[in-house]
Amino acid sequence: MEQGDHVAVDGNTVASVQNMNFKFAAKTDIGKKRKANEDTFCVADDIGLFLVADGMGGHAAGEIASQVAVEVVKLSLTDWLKKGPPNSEIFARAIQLANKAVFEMAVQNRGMKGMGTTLAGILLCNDGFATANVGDSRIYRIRDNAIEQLSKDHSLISQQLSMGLITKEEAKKSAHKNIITRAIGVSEFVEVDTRDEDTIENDFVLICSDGLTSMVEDGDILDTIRRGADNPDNTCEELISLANFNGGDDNITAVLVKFL
Amino acid sequence: MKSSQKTSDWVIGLLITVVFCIFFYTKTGFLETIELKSYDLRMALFASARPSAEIAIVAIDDESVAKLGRWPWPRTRIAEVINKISQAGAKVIGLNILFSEPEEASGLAAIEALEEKFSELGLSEAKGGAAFLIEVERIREGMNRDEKLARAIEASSNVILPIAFDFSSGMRKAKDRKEIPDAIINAAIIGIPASVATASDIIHPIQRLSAAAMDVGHINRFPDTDGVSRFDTAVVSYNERLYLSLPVVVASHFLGLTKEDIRIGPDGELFFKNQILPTTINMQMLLNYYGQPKTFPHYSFYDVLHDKIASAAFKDKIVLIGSTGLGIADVETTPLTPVFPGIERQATAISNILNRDFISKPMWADIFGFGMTLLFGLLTAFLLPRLGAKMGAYIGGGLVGTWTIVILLAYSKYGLWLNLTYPTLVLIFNYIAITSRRYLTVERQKQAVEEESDEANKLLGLTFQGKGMLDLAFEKFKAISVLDDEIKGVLYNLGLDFERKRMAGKAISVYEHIARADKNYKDIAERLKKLSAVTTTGLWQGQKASASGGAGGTAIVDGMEKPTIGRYEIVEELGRGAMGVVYKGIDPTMKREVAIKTVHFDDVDADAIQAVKDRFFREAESAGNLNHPNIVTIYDVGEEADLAYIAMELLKGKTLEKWCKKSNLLPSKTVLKVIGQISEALDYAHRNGIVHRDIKPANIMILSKGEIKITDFGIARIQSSSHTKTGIVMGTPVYMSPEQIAGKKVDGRSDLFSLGVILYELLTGEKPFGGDSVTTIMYQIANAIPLPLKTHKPDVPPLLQSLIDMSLTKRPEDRFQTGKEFADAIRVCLAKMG
Repeated sequence: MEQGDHVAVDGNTVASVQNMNFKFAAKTDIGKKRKANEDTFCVADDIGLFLVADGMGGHAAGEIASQVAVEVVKLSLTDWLKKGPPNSEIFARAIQLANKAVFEMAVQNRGMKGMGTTLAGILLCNDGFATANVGDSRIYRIRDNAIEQLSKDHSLISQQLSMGLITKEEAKKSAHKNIITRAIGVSEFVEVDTRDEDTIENDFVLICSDGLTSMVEDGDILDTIRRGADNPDNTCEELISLANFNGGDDNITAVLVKFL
Repeated sequence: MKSSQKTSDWVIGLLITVVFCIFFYTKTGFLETIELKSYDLRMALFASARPSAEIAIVAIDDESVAKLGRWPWPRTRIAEVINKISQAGAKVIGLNILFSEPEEASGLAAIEALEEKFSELGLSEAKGGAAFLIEVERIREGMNRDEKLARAIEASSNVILPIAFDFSSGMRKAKDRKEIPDAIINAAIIGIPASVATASDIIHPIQRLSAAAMDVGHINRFPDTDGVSRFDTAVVSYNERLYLSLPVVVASHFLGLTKEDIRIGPDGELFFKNQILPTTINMQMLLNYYGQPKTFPHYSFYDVLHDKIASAAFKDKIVLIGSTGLGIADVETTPLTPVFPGIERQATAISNILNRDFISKPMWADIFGFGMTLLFGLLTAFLLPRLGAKMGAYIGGGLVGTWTIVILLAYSKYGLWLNLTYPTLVLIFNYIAITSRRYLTVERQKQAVEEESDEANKLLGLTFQGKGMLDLAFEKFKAISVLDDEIKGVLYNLGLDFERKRMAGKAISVYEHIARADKNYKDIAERLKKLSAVTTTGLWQGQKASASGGAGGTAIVDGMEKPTIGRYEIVEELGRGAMGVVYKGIDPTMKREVAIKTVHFDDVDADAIQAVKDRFFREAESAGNLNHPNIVTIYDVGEEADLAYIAMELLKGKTLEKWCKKSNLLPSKTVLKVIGQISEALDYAHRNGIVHRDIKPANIMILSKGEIKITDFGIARIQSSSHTKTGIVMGTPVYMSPEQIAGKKVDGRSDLFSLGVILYELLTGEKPFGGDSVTTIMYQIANAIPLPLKTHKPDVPPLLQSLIDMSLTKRPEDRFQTGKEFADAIRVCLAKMG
């Protein structure tokens, strides 16, 4: 995906896929400490696909990894959805293909050794949407006054938390915040977590990189989205400002979809 | 897949659990049959009790029938045997033959008709008439065998007779029509049990016999759905009165109890005076069978009739009379044997009461079983999706095993019937459902990727081409089996891309690939001609442009001046790590070969770079101060542009990884010597305040002359400090200590734990904390005790186990505190091994 492709979405776009009407916006920002933006997002409203990828690996490899992953998922789904209905299985397959692409590039090119990317996103389906994620980029659903994380972080911290090795307080201070246990492109095959979710009118879905979630508490995200109400574009802008205000340690990306 | 398509794993587990709970509640279906069979198995496993010696059986067996003629016999014969048993001094006699109709007596009718005619003719007044009538009376008396039996029963005064009930539905108003002998009605007991089988009709001995009997008891049996008799139904209800079973009645009389002594308690318990007989809620008593038929002493009816049995056999005993003969006995199936005479089941029930060999299945056992089913079901539904298949199998197997042991102990020690089937099967079903589902989902995804479809190849090829990776793209396009016009166009474009990059050879290959399918495609023939001319004239010579993106580090290109880092001349690249490249270099001033490890800082945030660099140099310098024969020597640390480097001793040897394979283990003593040297070196480093943090076989080398060297001191710390963004995908944590896993502060004792892991691996060729995923390994390190060495390698000297135990213990305080302690312990071991 070329850089131009995803910044083309300026302001709010209203679209309809599978009898679902939605409004969406997406923003990415380099943050305050980084020299490059390795995050990539994709909003393909024609097929109802929204993705965020957070690349890693030195010498621009991180950028390549996140871009390639997003691009392969988008291309393959565009192709496959001409032949069959959207569902979580086809979504997972597209991500597997993306994994393969990034992995093969990393193996073939010395400069890209060890590159990889997280990937999180949703694909609209007949009766709702499918989520899929690998790594620590997150998917949230905001319904009424509640925010729910739909994705599961594949990070050392969340492993330690779920095994009871550390407490939530310790997790916040942990030195291992940046270690993820699964990523696109680091091995031949990657386990993709998928879920099927329903949606009702006025639901929001937020897909974001850890540059947002490590800087802004879930509660503040919820407040910002509630306040932003009908203007996802403004909301994305505000979320990014908030993350930058709190330090902006990493690249920040937010894709927000509002179901109408 | 942790959570996957359509429904989550735990939903499936929950559904299975609910289905099991419904089965449990309704007690139907194949599960109940399995539980019954498992109960039978328990009985077979632990059937060791001996039957009561107070019971004897007089059997109407095949021998008696053969010698005395066809059954049924005249009732006088029964009377005779009752007399004999009574005279022998039996305490209670139980008769398992139901005389519900008067004996067929056509002879008697004839005599009566004769007598009547005689009187009618007025012959009674005739001479000798009275004597005739007396004779007739005598004959009639002799022919009334029911009366004879009744007298025998009366005479012995301790005979219990059977009654039977009909439970066919449709309560006939039999009670109104039927006159029930008072003796039967009086045999009923008082009490209102919670729930009990209610009969619609009664079959009882004829009036005269009932009146003669001491008591009556029912002989109905209630087999389970599989036809096996596991219970004696102690109480049944008929016409609003409660009747006891024959065994209960016989046992109560043997124990000298009266009707008032037998009560039914408020909660439906059956009391014998103040002792409780354990019954289920339906007033049924589980039968504890003693084994195959004839566990009780059997005496042939014929032998008793002909006085062949010494009276001692019956003295003060319970004697049961009933049939065991072929075709005349009522046979039942027990958990232990398919053919078992009814009379022996009665004997078994009596013996259970007298010996208190009870098996009980109280109400709470049922509730407990239900609870365990729910618990195991929920546990697996919610736990399994979080664990790997292997871990799940271990935990599940452990639970099933433990529960089975509990079940067997409860049965053998306390005669308790707890539910085995439902809790274990719900666990096994959940396991199979969840793991196979996970397996299938992963397999399907794998398959989809591995299928290398034309479609996928085209997609990947286009992506690679778009990123300028033309070689990779060509590889993908080549794999496409059908070259249609679209693919040809794609390939043609790739050829043009190669030309633009002046890679004539590659472009030729692409065009030739198209030509194989379509020689005349566009202008490829012409292009091929031109390109081959280019390659032969060498117009593009010297171009070695690589299709790969800009690689980091200092590129070494042929024909150029030798590159340098710092003052070192770079000779060749030795390898690449996550952090940077390792080169072989030459120190021109000393003419010695060095290894140069480079670290890039271009991943580090601009404002943090100085702090990170400072820390890097601090760590590297303090590691450089280490001066020990077993620690690789650091010569120099420096920086150049955005690159920092460490120049160190160039080592020629093999890392310990080579000796960790099962097929290539070192002798135990050599292993100890190696580990001993490493611990001494670690001791030295720790005393100087340096913790290695990444002790693993790949970081320990054995040089060609046998010297041991630890490499990469402090590098782990340098790496983690220079990576602050979403950066590193975790490698294997196999050698990490529990405190490292938990992200706590580590000290030298963490290195010693890692060294313990290596010791284990060098000795056995196996990892102490293994697993197929990072999660499993982490869980193992945090919680598991490694298998003893001897399970992998039986000939390992046992005293080495204590070294392993000490070094792999979870709490740092319990381990060797210093490398020296570890080394000393090894020395002691070596000395003991001689």
